[in-house]
Amino acid sequence: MRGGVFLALCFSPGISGDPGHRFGGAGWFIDGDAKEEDCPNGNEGEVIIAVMESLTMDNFREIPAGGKPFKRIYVALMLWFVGRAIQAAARVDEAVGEEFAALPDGFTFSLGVLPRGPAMIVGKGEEGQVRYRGWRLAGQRIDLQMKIKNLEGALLMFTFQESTAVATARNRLIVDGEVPAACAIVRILDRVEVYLLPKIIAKLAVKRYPDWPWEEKVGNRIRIYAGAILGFR
Amino acid sequence: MYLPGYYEYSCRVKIVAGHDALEGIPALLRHVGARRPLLVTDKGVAGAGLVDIVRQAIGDRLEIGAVADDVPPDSDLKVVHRLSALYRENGCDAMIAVGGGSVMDTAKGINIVVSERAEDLMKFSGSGALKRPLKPLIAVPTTAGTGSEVTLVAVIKDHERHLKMAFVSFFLLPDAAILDSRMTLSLPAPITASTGMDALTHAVEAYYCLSKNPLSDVTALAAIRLISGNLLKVVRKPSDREGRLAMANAATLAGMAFSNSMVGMVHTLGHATGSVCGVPHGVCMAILLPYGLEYNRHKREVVMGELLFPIGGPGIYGQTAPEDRTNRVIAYVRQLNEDLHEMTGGRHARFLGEVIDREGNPAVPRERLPDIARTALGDGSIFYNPEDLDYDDLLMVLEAAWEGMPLDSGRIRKG
Amino acid sequence: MFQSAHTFVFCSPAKVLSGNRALENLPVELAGMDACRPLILTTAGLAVRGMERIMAGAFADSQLTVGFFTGVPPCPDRELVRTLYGLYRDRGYDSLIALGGGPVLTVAKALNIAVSGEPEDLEAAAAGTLESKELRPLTAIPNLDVSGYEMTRYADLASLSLTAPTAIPGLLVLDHRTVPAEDRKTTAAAALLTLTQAVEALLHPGRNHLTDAYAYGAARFIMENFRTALKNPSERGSRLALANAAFFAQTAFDNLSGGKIFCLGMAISRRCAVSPGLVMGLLLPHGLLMEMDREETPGKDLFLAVGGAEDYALVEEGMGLRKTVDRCVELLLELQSLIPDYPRSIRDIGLKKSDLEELPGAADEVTGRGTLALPEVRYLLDKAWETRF
Repeated sequence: MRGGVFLALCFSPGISGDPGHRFGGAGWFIDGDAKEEDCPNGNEGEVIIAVMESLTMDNFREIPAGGKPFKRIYVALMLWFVGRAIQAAARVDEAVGEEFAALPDGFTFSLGVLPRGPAMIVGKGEEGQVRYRGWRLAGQRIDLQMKIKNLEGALLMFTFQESTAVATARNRLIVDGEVPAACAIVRILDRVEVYLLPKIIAKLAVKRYPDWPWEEKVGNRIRIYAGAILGFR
Repeated sequence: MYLPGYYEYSCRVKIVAGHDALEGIPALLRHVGARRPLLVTDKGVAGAGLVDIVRQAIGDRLEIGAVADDVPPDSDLKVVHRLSALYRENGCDAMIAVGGGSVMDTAKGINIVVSERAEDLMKFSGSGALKRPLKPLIAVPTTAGTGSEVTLVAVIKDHERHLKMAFVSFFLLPDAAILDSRMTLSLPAPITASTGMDALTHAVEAYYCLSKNPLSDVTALAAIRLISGNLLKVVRKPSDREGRLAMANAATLAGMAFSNSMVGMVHTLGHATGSVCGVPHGVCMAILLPYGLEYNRHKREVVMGELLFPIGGPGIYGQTAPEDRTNRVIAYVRQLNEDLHEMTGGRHARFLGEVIDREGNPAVPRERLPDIARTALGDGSIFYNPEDLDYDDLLMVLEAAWEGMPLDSGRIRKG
Repeated sequence: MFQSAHTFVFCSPAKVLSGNRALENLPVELAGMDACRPLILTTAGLAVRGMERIMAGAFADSQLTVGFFTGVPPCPDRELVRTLYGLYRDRGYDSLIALGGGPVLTVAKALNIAVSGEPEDLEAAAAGTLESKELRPLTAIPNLDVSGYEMTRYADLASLSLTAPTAIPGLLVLDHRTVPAEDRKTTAAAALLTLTQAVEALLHPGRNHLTDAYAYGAARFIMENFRTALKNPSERGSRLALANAAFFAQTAFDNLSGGKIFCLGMAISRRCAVSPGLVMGLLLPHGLLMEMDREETPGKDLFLAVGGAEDYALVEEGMGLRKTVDRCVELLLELQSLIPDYPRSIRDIGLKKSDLEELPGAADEVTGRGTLALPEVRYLLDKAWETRF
């Protein structure tokens, strides 16, 4: 019954011609079981399947959700990289370290894409060490979940067409968890973006490009890149 | 008019406004199939006779299931659960919330509990937890105002565990907001002043913050025009019914604006000041509003200049060169605070150092400003402010707001 | 500012998403309304313009399967609603998406009433007595082929006119991909129809702060963007601004009622097969001039919407309405210069003098409430008949 469009009609052999479609009359369309009251002449259970002329394969179809594999891979890579960069930055940059220090031990947050990822998870261990914890959300207790509503929204963020601030302002994200923690994470993300991106792009990604001493910025940048790529802990 | 690259807007609350809007409540509830509402309010509102006015307006066309008039000034989890039990015991099927922000939040909290049969309200915190419409809720604001009759947020405090739970959902919106001039006729001058400035701040911040959009803009402009034409009038003459109705409309319009466009630094600091020092929200808003304009003006000069039209009037707008308009807007806001200060016999504070608590002591000691700055870093409105804000920026603004001095624009770090 | 002396009621139930990648938010918005199986309704014409690919892209990565029906005709009738009712129920859909203009929204509203309750509810909706129960989610994705009724409570099937506030779509999505560039006449018609709704809302005796705010927004967007939309149709922002304006004006209209220019324009348009917006454009200056004779006309506020704050600030006391008329005439002349064979009079669109007698009555039927003053409508008609721009 699924190849085209079928409607179940119930009518009694006593009625000829027009099957008696009426608004407000005795029923309309019955899918599946015919009810006695819908068949006034009483042939209970007699169901005839017919194809309505006005519905054809040309003007109706079902569109299964496709995929966007290349976009998913790109966003997954970016999330992986940012997650590991945050891990590195927590060791290398004092301000990032302080933001994490102010969060409770065991605190875990995720940044991911609805409905089914990709995602990245970063958590603070029992002794305060910040770790990238992969991309599998299932089974993990996550205190703060930042969910980008769809893949295209994630793409806008990770191609820097929309900064974190603009993306938030445009409701591209759903934040589930404590708001003060979310503020801290966004500040951390901003700092990490300044390290990872050349100034010309980072200026689009953050509200106010910071005025850090050049040597410190470059030095930390190298350490964070190395940490992200090589996974130094 | 500005069209952003992307925006979202919704406010599906039915607005009923007029000198006899309350009389429409029975029909509204009947329309949604409700017959026995719980009336939620607080002692202040009941004491001012406002609940009697509501009951008289409803008459015998509707049976009120029960009246709960003990909502505290700060919404509380235990109260929410207790009043939910009252709702169920009395076979209620709807709510009428008569009061200010705390009453509205409490009513929204009760609505979650009774509609979802929630044992643990915490489970519904955050956004997205509610999936279906709740029971009918009619909001009757008694200040002009917080705008919470049109916001989809409720904040409930768990005083035992020192937690603040925020609930965000489309389904929290009241079905209708009743704006009736009788509800604010007896509002004392200092509260009229501070709640009026609260509404003005909502509208102004909605107009220049990052989620600015066409519908929040048009509602904000309408609100500002009404406030600038009526706030001083109703402080001077509280019985001015037309003025009171205009302010009630303005507060709701401002609520529609900011609930969609969000707010910025003024609320970031205002919430923190309220949280650390217990200063009422509207008082903080009035004091900090000029600073919000000053701090962000390098990013929003043109947009702020447009505000001179509703705030100063078309004549002033036409005569003022575009490059001077923002200056005049800031001057107008400061002057408004000065006028309100004078008209309330000094009770409307113009700067943080001037705010006194119920016992007459300074409410914001200077030594607490660093605490306020630190707390402000955790406020969600910080995302929507046009310019970045770190601890040093926040402290700088607080210091200036404490003394009542304009911001030194050279000290603002511009992104 | 105008203060209504009476109690007013205002409601705008729609949530609007407008701009870049708005369509991609559909899955999460539907989930928020507890829906996961939408049926999209559209026309063959729109399907040919690539809408299926666009909607497929919007739902890609969502894990949702959507139904796509492209057979909505220009004048849908109850038969179609009946057919789609069966499709909806048979396939287990739980929400509707109306992708297109007036006819698509009409079918979608009627269908939504039927599937959310009983088919019999359509009778109640026709009588204006439908219960106010919330319907299943209905999303509107309109374009610049504007009928004026898309986001309102009205739906006119052939031989069945429905009025149901609950039928107003709960979600509106405006995305440049589904607001494609149209030919100049269609764009002009959309602008003029929207402007008429906005202007008449600002003059309506029942107007309030909210209808004023929405109408102001609509008029500003039209006046600031119509030129670009016509001369440079590939420019997305101006098309989107016009689509936004249509929604704002329809919201004000829905909360008030049609004025004489709107209703007469509709009535003439139905007789002559000329789009209603173009007809309304020809009536607009005359309708405004008629207002000048009234005593308490809020002409100045009207000019704020049509002229903008800068010009308004310079206008003299009492000159607001006159300036508004001037702006509208300038607009018409500009449209004439930009669009070949743009009608310059209602005499040029196939109307005969003998039609004039019946038109006021026909106009009154548009609003269905007997709210128009027929002599005024006749006067407007006569004036428009005498004029060639």
